[in-house]
Amino acid sequence: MALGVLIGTWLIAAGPASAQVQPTTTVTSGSVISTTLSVGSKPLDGVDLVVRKDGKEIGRASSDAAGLVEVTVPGGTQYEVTLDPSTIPKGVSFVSGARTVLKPFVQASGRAPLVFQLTGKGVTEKDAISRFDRLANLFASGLRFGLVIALASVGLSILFGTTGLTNFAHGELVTFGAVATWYFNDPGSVGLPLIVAALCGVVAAGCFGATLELGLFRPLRRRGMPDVAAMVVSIGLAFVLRYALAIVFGANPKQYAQFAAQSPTIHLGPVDLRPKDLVVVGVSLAMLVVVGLFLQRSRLGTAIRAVSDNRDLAESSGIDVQRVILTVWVLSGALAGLGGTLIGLTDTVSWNMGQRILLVMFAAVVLGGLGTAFGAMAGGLLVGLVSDLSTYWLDSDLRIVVALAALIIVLLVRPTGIFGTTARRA
Amino acid sequence: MLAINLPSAAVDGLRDAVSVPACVYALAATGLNLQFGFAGLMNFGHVASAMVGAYGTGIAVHEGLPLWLGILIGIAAGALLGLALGLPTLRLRADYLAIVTISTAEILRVVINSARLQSVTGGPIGITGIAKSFYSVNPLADGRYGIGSWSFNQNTLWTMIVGWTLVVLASLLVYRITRSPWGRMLKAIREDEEAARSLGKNVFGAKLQSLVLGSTIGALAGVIFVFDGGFVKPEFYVSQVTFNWYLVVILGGIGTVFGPALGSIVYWFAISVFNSLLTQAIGNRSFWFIDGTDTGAIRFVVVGLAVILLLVFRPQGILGDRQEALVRDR
Repeated sequence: MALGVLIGTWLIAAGPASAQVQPTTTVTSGSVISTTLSVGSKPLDGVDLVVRKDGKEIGRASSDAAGLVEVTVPGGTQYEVTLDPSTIPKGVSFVSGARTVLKPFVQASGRAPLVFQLTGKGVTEKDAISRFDRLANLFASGLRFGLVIALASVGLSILFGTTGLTNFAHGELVTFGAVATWYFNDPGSVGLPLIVAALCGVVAAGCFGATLELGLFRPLRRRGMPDVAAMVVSIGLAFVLRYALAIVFGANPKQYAQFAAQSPTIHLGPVDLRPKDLVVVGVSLAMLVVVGLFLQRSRLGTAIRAVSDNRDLAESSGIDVQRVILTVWVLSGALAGLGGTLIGLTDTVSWNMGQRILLVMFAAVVLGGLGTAFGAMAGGLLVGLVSDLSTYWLDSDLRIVVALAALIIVLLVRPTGIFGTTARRA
Repeated sequence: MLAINLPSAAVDGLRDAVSVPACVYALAATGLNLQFGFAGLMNFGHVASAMVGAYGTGIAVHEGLPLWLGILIGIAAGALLGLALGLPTLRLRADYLAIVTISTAEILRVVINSARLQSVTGGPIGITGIAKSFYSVNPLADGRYGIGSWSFNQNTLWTMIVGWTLVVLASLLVYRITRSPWGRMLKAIREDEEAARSLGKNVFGAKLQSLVLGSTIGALAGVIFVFDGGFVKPEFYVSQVTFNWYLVVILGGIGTVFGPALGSIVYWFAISVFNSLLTQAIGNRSFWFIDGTDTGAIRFVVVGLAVILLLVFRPQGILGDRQEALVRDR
């Protein structure tokens, strides 16, 4: 739990020269340059990756049996990365016209995946990664990310529609679900199989949503707290939950027990998918359909939409508004928790994973039109696709910029969002 | 045995209550109060105004311009940011403004942080050695000023003097504004926008002016922060800082003249004493799952709790009036 080190110190420790006025959430232990070397589908073993800075060698490593090679660098600058020609097996060469020296800009933390285009005997040019393949793979990962974002943001949108609350603690519901699943799954804690653990985690996140409503937001509504003040309360709540999770869960990202191992890749045309990617896409799609049907067909779903449309009218026609809002909180927590669990599957579980996607979820919700469930779904898909596809042209750390820029542009052109109706609440 | 040294914690608190960061927070919160407290604008990206102020100064000096010109550029950048944020968004609903402003702040920070812009912004490393000519006009002789560990070196004290002078000037400006027709119009807009509009007031113009003025003061805060050590780094300007400033404004009293400055002093005193006591109490021991490295996280939990408890039990803060619309119970 080396959290204090990671989030930095505040000024207090030293006197004059300390200008560390506020915490940093980045882990500044360096960045990993990685690549997987292969000819066609055959991995290359024992090829040296050499990292240079201003002509001086600062790192070197050999590829393993899977062709994977990683070099840790301080980051925050540009490097020259090459393969040591003396270690490249005979018959293997660079694709004609491909770069032999890559010059990536590497952030101070995180990963910098690179691609060397290699070819060899018996391998046609088609097997090397083409531009089209890269776009197709980005499209697939954008679709996966977008579906998860759509799933996680539906609750945020319905909650706004029914209560008027812009919930800045929604990201922590995402984290809560992922972390709860981790504890149910962790052999050292509960040790359930992952699928059962995920179910328990989602239920726990739903209960957690209900707890927030009953313990905090319902009493505040009873007191007549204005929406603006409630929004600021949700920010305070986000702080409390995020850092409480950090203390309990620890600062280091963790993985689910059964998915730590590498699984074989599935090739769908040009797209390479891990089995868990398919699971994530399948579960998100299925859940989005279920939520859609629930809202459209069931009595409770209709009641939710009625309260969203006009709360006073819904109340006077006999709908128990408080009960509907409680349902929405449960739904919101459970869907966010499921989204978090799915992100934990493909990525890692960490204490600030929800905060990292909070703005992306806001972008999704606003793009689709605040308060509309189906808008949030479409908005999530759009944000995911646009931000992942943008990495074809831009650095991957600018993904969030693209998503947020899309949000701002849409708001300026069409302030009600793409699917929002023109009737706006004051 | 817990060895708690209360006087030493109190000295830490008193030092931080007047330190440069407290002064930066006071100035930034004064700007935020103009937007949020007076005009009711939910600017969740206020940290961006300090960021463009600091980076405007830093980049200008880095490119070889004199510091005074850099400061002017930084402040102009803050005003421009307010204009750029306000022109398209002020016709949107309050929570849309909140989301657009926080998004803009994140976009700016990520772009500045990008390694590709390293030659201009310094990327994640930032820019150093900006404030040399500010220290060279320091009239104070070298040495430490103060008593015991409540002391500052000549450059820090010089920055504090300039910074707190600016806080006083900004507060006086706000004082003048509250007594002016323009200030009363702002409050009227916050209380009931439609009523103000129906009386023929230019609501859009007034909101825009308050956003620009607030951002300009925010940029000034960024400039003062640059003087504290003479460097800028993107990691100082994450969105959480904006929320700290909201706490400062709410603590001091939304829509009051001296609330932000007082709020900042109280905030830094409380945070510092709390941190000092916590570090002493936990030390290298560990209780349950909390150990010495968790003090940073505990502090954030406390900040969050403070926001919630203040809004629930004393939304008017220290100096405020319970009848102000943003906090009034319906």
